[in-house]
Amino acid sequence: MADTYQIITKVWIAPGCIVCDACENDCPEVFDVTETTCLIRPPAMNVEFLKPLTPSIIVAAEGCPVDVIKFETIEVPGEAPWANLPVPTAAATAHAPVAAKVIVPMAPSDPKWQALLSNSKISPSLSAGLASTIRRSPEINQAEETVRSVKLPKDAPADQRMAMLAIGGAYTPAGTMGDRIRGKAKKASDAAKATRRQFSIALAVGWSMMAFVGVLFAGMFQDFFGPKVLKEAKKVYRVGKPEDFGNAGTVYDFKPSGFWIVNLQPDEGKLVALSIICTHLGCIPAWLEGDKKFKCPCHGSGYYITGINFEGPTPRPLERFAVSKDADGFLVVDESKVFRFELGEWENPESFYAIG
Amino acid sequence: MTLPFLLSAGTGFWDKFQDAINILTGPAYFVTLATIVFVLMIVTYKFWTKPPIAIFLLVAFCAFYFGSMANKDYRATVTKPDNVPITIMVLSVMVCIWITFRRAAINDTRSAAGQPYLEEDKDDKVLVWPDLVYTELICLIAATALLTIWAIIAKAPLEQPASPAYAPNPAKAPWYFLGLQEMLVYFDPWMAGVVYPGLIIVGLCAIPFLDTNPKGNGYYTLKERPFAISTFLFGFLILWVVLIFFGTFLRGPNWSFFGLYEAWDPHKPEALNNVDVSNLWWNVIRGRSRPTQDNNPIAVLPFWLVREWFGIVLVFGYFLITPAVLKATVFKRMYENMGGIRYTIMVILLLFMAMMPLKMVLRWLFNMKYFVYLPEFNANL
Repeated sequence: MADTYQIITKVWIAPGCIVCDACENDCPEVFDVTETTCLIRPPAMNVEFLKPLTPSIIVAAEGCPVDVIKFETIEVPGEAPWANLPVPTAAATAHAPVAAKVIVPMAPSDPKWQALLSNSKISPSLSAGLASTIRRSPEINQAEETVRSVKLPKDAPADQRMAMLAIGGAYTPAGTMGDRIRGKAKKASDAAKATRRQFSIALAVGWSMMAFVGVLFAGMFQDFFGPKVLKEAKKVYRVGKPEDFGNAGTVYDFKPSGFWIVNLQPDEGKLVALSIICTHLGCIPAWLEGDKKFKCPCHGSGYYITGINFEGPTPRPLERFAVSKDADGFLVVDESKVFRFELGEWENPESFYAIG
Repeated sequence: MTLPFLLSAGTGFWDKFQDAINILTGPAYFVTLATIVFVLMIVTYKFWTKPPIAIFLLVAFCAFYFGSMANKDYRATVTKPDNVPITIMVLSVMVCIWITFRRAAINDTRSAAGQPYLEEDKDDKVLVWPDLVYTELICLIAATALLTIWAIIAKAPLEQPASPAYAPNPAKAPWYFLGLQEMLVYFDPWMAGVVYPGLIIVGLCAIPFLDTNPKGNGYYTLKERPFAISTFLFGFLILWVVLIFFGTFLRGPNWSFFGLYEAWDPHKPEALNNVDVSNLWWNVIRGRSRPTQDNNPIAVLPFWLVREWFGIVLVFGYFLITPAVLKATVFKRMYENMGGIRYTIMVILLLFMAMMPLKMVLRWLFNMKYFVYLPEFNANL
């Protein structure tokens, strides 16, 4: 039997709370665990309110896994009122399997007082507003007016005022997390009971939107990756009279028009129009007069004067365009008609103009 | 040019040296040397990564790389604004490889002695703020400053306005694509432009699913995963970095090969008459011309199949028989560890990768062009 005992005069939360709900289970009168941190309920600012709760605060502080519950004590003479009082509390019974290990001495078991406390879950936002002198929204002002209008004995703990307000419907306490989860679950299950018709509509709308987005993306893809070229009709060029190309084994340059006129004499008595597009990857080869070959600068493909490929990576010969003589005696190259060697099309009489 | 050429070439020592380098940077010699260096690098990694030796190697390389600028043709290549990133790439690849192998050497020595890995000893946890964010901020500012200064010093190498009738000679891709451009020389555009890049990306994505070896997770090591590391590095160093080096330094006008110190003569004569496997079979072995539509010895089969049957058999053998042979021999344990599906995917990817150097070497040595040559279907391999 001690002659003095400790009472707690002030309690606060150091930074680092992990929102584990342990303290609220041990001492719901003081600790209010929100979704982000733990708050001290406003009534617990009062020394008289804290005094009878000393044992459960100590239990909560010891049970805190991160030790952020801090308090100050003073020593008072006499025997502790809770010394021989093994009363299981509401919180302890609610969590019987856990709390059964430790019998936590709690606040005086005045039934009226406990009834008030059990309803005194204070909304964090409201308590923050009441404690603030800066935020002065009309709602806060009105709430304060209501609080002041409640007549209570002068020494009544602040929490009693809150509790009475809550019972009287002056404000709605925030629901517990369990209530909120149950509410959401109910909403979801109601939604799941939608009719078949609604489901079909939702399906159609969903797939329509998917299709729309898909088409949009396909269009964007095509626009971004597609070649940036003007589509124009293949052209027909009049290049000159056959006698202008009379030098044997000569390449006449018409690169801006997209072809060379090649005199294949003396091996063949032909004038042909060779495409300037390398059949490998579309670069523009150059005619090397000294080496008598077309040579591509991009990957080194090489072609004989006939257009037959013989070196480098190109898989097939240069293409030939149709050559003919028009009514005025001019050679005409028609780029819309293409002749490919590997398909045996160079035998086609349209693919060359016979000379000498 | 061949090695005996050396005996007669040039006059002074430096002439001979330059001629020797020109020959050794011919593609076949260069890739052979690079592969030998690569193997030595893997085998002797505990030796060459020692700081004094590594510093000596780096200094020697820099002396060669920058000292070669006495040669005007080489200098023109190195100092071209386009090619500054190549110098940065070569040096940074060397430093990164050294760091990796150095730490792997230390770790392998430690684990052999029963000590913990280098990375286990220290707690490397850092805070996002301030450690990471500060570092990022500083790197961001430094990179911006560097790019700004670089852009001011080296002007953009712009040329005349583009014309559809003219291509610059040589026409080079951006430096980081030169490896792809080099691939296009050896393969059909479809293979080198679509299939191989796709396989590279898909294959790299597949590595975590194919490689079930949990070793080397969070620490550097070579001994515990020699196959994975050497295969990856072969692909990266030989088949990518070396090809970029080829494209930058050795490819000149008309996309011909030039020695490191050789002047870029657009009229360099080069005999590159390509032959296909079907040429080898019909023209050389059988001594007749290749079958055509009108001249088909086995009339029941399409002429292209008759023409290309040998190459088709070779390719099918390569992709079907090689995996089975490897499974029964060198990859026996790997097959047991990986299971059938993983093993098959891995070995097919590996064979595709091996086909690249194989075909490159065949091209350089024998002017070999295509195993299967089907221009009728735009399909060649």
